[in-house]
Amino acid sequence: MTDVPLDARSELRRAEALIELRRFDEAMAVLTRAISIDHDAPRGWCLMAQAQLGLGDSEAALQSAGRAVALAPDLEWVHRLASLAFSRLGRHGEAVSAAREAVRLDPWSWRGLTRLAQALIPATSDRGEARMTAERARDLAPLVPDTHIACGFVEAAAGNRKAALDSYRKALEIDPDNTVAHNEIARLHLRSGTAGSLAKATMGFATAVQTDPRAGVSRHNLDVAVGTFLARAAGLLLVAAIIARGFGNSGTVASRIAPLALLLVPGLFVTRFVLRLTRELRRYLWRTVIHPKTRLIAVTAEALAVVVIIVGAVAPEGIRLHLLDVALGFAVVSLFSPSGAQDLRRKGRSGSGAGPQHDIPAGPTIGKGVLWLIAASLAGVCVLGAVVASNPSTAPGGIIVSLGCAAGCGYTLRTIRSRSRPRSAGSDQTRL
Amino acid sequence: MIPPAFVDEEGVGTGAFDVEPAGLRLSDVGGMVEVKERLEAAFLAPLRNPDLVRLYGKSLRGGLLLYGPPGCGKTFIARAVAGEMGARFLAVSLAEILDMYVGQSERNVHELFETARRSAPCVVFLDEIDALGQKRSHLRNNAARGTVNQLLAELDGVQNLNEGVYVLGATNHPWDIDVALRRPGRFDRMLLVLPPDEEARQAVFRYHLQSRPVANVDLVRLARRTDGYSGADLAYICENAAERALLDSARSGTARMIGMEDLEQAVQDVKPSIGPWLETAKNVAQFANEDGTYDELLTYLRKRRLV
Repeated sequence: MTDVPLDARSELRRAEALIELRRFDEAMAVLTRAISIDHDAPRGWCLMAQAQLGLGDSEAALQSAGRAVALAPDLEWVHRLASLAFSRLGRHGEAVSAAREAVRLDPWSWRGLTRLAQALIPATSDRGEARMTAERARDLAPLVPDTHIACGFVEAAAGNRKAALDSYRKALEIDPDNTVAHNEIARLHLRSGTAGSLAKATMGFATAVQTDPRAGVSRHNLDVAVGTFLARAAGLLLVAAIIARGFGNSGTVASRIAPLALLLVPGLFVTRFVLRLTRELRRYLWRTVIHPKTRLIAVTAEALAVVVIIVGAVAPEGIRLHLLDVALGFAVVSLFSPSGAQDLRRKGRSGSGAGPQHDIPAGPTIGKGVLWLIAASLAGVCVLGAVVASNPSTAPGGIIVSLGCAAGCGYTLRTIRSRSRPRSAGSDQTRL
Repeated sequence: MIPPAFVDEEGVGTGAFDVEPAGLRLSDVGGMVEVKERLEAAFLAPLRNPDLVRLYGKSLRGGLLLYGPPGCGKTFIARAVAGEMGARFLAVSLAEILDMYVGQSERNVHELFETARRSAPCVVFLDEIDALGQKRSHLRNNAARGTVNQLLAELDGVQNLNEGVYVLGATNHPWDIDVALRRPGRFDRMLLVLPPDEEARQAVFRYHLQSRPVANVDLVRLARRTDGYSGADLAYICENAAERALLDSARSGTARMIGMEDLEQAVQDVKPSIGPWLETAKNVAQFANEDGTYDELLTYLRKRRLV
């Protein structure tokens, strides 16, 4: 490295402190000053790239890292920063090359190895090298939580849930306040479908927010977890309503008990989930349900569906079928209402969050093709509902089904449109 | 005794920290009645009645941490508290804190408290204390960790030397502060300083417009329209309005007064800056308030229907 003038050296140390304090804007101002004093200091450009990454400006970070690479090609740090910027920009091949160069320059740096392991995850489906690299980093620095987290990422990407959980838990043993580890454990729980796992995921995300209130990503994920719960509850209710509707024509005692028994499934799901939450989270769930008022409409539709199914089960035969039709309609509205559970998930996805806190691999998302299929199916059911509504005896249920599906179709189309918009680089990597 | 330093060494000497008279009283702070009342109850009353405090077995030790969104007058209030106590004022800003990181951090923190002890009675005001007392688990830098440890030692005043030294801290992010700093005897009292209330907003507008040419300005209406704006936002509104009038005057060649229209247009252009802070504050109040530390904040957020 070249000799840095004293003034610039002081400014760089100030900038370093500011970056450590996550005051990236202020660090940028100091760095601009430092670089104007000494334009050829690779450390200045490295810190600049670091601050830009902190601010979520990966393109600028890549330029700064490139400048640092030109000034000090033998410095491991510059290649590591370039690799991170490439990853955030989705240029995974180049991210791997830069990380390999960093490891070549310093094969004993756990930071370089961790970076390479993380860069390899989205770049290739072969997890062997990523696993080996992450394990080597962990062996070199077993007391650094980041190395265990990198192992967890690799295992999670390979589908080894248990091994991933073990790695994240090890990171938490070292640093109980590690936001990323809390967040990742919760993400793994969220993928499992049970009410218990969903509750664990919700609590995990809440703990991540608690350990770092500025963790916009975890806050987003918390909203997604709650949205998933509401969506699953509404989905189970819809299935129960559809099956209950099938019993509508029969007059036997069993056909009266069946709708009530079917309600137990969503009922148990909701009860198990809610009981496992802490008091604070129950309060948060309640606030989520009642605010904004438009979401309250979706939840009210859900409650009405339950009430109407119960009333339908005990109602005289003549009106039973109509009541179960209406219940089915309410269930459709609650599931597909644009202001309901699905909207909460969508809001989480586009909500204002802090910049990326860690380069977490992307989670699974529904493809555009599937979304078009869903939209087409809903449009079809909407038309069928309209046909059913033309018969006076089934009109109420038909109208509600039709309206619910129209809303769902509209929502799906809106999601497709929003997927088509360009997104800020890097943000998706850290989100579910 | 300060050890000698090498010629190329960065550090602070005896005169590194400026102690000055506070020059303000709480009565100079416009509005903010609630904050003043809580300040009186939590900090000033015990200091004014030391005998009573001792009678009830309470300690006079411990500092006060002012927290709240940026630009809402925490520094101004701290200076006014020093004035109320008839003490000198030693303010340490972020720039000086960063200098501590650059130089020999532990020695610099020690020197700061030594200066305060020599100037007692003195209020040491650590602005942006999150920069100095960051959670140690967040810090990778050894110098930064050393600074936190030294600060803890100085607050404890190992040899009971802190007589007449009152420590006030201010931060926008109290959740980033090492919990050890909030233990009894350190910053064990917290006070939320919120965006100015209507009366305070009038005072802020009056202050920023008093030396400018204004005509027909309705301060009451302006204050009503700027609920949720920080003091810094209000200052910026005045700047913006003045700039508008200046440009207009330059264009027409005739100087004109700053009018209500300029100010109202500026209000429309300037958005409240505390939004990002509120987002984090919401997370804290909802998920990190098990011990009730942020009850005041939660009440405020509920009142504004933000949670």
